[in-house]
Amino acid sequence: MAFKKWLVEGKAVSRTFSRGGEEFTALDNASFRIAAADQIALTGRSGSGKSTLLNLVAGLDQASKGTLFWPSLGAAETLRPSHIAVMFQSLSLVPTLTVIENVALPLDLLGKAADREKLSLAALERFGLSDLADNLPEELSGGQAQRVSLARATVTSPQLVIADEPTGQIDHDTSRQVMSALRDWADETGAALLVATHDSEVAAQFPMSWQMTHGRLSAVEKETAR
Amino acid sequence: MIFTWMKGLVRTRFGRLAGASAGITLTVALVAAMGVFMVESNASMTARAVQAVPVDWQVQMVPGSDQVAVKTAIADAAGNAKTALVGYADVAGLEFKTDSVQSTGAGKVVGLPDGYRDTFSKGFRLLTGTYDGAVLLQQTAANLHAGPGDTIAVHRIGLADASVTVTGVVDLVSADTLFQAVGVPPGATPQAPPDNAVLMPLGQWQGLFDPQAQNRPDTVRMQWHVALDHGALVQDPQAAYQDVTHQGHNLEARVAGSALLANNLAASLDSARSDALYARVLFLFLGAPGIVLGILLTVAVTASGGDRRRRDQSLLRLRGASLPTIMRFATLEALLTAAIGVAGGLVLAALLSSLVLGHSILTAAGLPWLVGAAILGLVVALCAVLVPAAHTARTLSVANARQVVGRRSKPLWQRLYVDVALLVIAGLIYWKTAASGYQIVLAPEGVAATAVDYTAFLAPISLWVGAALLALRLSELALSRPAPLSRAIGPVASAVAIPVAASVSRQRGRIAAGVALTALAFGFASSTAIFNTTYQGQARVDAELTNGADVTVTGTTADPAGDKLGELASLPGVQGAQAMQHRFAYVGTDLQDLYGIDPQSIGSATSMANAYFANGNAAATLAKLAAEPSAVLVSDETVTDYQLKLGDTINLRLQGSDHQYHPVAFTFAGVVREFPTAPRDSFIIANADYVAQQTGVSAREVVLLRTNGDLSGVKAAAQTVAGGLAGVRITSLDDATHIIGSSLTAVDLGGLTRLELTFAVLTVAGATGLVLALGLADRRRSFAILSALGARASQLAPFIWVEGAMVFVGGAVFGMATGTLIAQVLVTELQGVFDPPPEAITLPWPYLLTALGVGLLATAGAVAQSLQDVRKTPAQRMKELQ
Repeated sequence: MAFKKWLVEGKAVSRTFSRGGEEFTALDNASFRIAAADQIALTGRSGSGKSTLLNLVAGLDQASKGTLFWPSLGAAETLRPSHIAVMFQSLSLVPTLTVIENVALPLDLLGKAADREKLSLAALERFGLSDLADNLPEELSGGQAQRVSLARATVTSPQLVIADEPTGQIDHDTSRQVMSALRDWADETGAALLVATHDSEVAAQFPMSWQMTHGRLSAVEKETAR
Repeated sequence: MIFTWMKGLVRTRFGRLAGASAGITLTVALVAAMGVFMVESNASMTARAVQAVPVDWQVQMVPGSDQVAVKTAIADAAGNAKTALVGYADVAGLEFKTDSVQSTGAGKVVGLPDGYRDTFSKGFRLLTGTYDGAVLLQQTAANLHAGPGDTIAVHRIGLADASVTVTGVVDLVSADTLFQAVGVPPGATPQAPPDNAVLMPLGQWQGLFDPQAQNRPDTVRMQWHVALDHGALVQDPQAAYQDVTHQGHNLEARVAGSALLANNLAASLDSARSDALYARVLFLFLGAPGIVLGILLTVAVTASGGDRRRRDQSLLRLRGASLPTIMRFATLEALLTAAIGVAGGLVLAALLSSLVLGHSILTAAGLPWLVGAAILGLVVALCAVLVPAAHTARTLSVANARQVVGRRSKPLWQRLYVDVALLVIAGLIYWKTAASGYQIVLAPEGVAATAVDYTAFLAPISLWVGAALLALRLSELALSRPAPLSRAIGPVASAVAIPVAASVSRQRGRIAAGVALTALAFGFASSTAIFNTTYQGQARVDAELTNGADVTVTGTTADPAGDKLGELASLPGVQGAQAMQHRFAYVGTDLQDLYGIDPQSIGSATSMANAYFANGNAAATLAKLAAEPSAVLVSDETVTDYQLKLGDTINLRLQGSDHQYHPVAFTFAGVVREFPTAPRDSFIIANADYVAQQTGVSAREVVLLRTNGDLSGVKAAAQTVAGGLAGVRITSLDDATHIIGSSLTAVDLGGLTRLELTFAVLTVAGATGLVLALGLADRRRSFAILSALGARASQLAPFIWVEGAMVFVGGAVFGMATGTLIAQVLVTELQGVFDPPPEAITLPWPYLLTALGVGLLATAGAVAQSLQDVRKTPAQRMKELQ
């Protein structure tokens, strides 16, 4: 049996916040691991701690207790945008940049000026967005904007894509298209996915599912046919 | 619900609310402070005009009329006026016999009643002796070589000579007024005061001249001198002028046929009212741009929250709020902004008026300005908040609620080249003004109607607006192509140069608006500063013209200050000293002041401005004077009267060592218009050595001292050195600034300057810092997205500082250049304010650098604040935006 390549490992991770002078635990003693090619749906009700967990895994936030490390990816400061990419629930495109400029942003941040145009166009083509390259975000529909976010998330070929309710603000059919495109890309590249969703139909498509309840994480492994 | 909205507004939109209120505060404070300043200035101009008049009215009786009836008429027309009966008698001449006989031509003897100088104290300066008996005018004493204790003969007309004993010598500063011809029409050529006159108590005068009045009634006149009740005068010079003129007309109607009136107070107010009009023009020229800028700042601050407003309204609509409800909320925001802004503005105006101008704004006369400023603040707040809110509410849709960039077509003004047209208009009006040398304010002497040529405002306004629009156009043009921009910022923005350039280019409309607003603010600051510095420089030249130099020691021919030149020159603080002759010379029958100078060195003690000379070249004129010992410079009037041509010989009569006047040949070498210490009418400039050689009198009566700035110290030291000279007068520039001709110059323009410059700096800070900070705050979402994608703080920083640098550098360059041009236009159009006109504008580098520094600091502060925000963790930032 081959050893799994662990991308993320968390041990007894907690995250507390102060709210009105009172301590509030958003994530309570969670232990988890994410391996390469894992496709995990993170479910739970609003306020259950899903976004907190995603932020910690993406290196956007720091744990209050416990240990969190990225064995195959490196230090927290170097995770984004080369190894981990993030997508958000709300519109996440920079409004003053065109579609192609938005997609090229991670490459710009990495200093890959030479390949930026070629890689960006390839990413757009992959998700059927070539015609929209010179449009501004405000000229896109919600579904198109999320697909652009997807193109941007994948343009650096990251090993883990973290998405927080990526289909939360788009209609059902578009939602299916976006998730399908994301999983197709992950299948092709062997990248891992961690997708927070409150849509049970979306969650059902993922082979693995993690459940958040009042800040506590429980993992359920399952086999899911695509 | 309203209360909840208000609480939320203060909690979550505090920055924008405070920013818009700050704009209102600036506008209200500027209007209130400047309005009250103008009211106070008018009052001070009226007071100064009144103070300058030695005798308000001179009512001259027609021979044979009833003195008591005229006095009663004066009381009826003028209420609580004080009156004194004064006698004037013409005499054939005066004579003083010692070893030789000194005699003068025709003169006048004035009889003053007891206590006259208690009521009419202005204009008398006793040089020596007492007022107990006959007092000689300074020039008369010099002509006769007589002094206290001497007995002189008075050649009465038609009677035997009378002998009087001299008790004193007086400098009669108000001689022009006291000896004026009463009853001549306004605008008539002024009559020169007599060269020879004697003042004496009325009783003594009556003893000498009542018999002459019986023999020759045409040679004796009686005048009632009237001091009006100044407490009843209104503060505005124009209104005061009209009141006093009408009061005079009332008297004239009452005494028609029995007396004639010289209304000196009206004449003095007549010149003050044109100064008041200039003050109003200055207020409009210099203050209006500041007020417009305050309004624009308020509009810019509220506009910078347009994105947020769209989202707020979108949410309100989603939750079922109707249009009237949304407008009620917007009205509440406007009223809150207005309340904070107006209150702040009035407090700021009160503080600045008290600290900078030294007076309170809470005066009855200033109240209308305070109310007007408050109403303006309210209107601006309502317009700035409600208009965009109403527009957003009417046009809001889901699509445009998200719209923050948009693809803009060229605005109409750009397609019509309105900016270029405005600049051409400004240039044409300026050219017309500069070429014709016209006066913006017309207040003809003796005519009640006044006029201000408001079309002159078109030049600076067109220039200001045109330059701002041009700044907008050029900034947009410069930012329209991201590629060159990316290359330009590449070395410092490194990896993110491309997205930064693209982002900046896409926001070029907003950034260019920031550049234009900043340019307007810098333009306001620099034009105000340059104009005011030039004005103050000219006020100093004016004062120097009046006083002669920083410190002037004026002696007499008998006791010349020039004898102390060596000691005065070596006083601490003295940087240059020159002795100058001040004599009198007859040009034909006209007695004129003559100044004997050393042409090549006079400039070491006082300024020799080009404007002093008709050819506009001081150096060349003085060199010409120095080259020919007999050369002389005379006034335009003398050239015209005597039809002189360059090189002509002029024979002037000067007093020699024998105290007699002898002809001396001079060569006409040029025209002089003004000269330090010289009167405003005709005078003569000659070489001192030539005058001394030809008259045999080498005395130099006046010493001019240039100081290191310590006027009072040098003046005091000069007093110890030269104070012992008989009849000596030691004056400094400080003394002169209080008596120079233009009451506008005498108004505390320094206070206005400080006030305007303070506002200018505040608007510069507001335009650069506030607008930038609020604009950058609007883009926190973009920074949060970039940060989540993995951008480090160092990669986010260029998105912020590139914008800040463009707004600051673009605004400062355009603004300073525009400000300099506007100042040039203002100085040209307001020539009437200056006496003499300036040769060039003066750049106040310390202030300009301060304004630049404040703008830079405000920009840096806004950028630093945004960078501080960037340093938060991405998760924190995302949470704040949700």
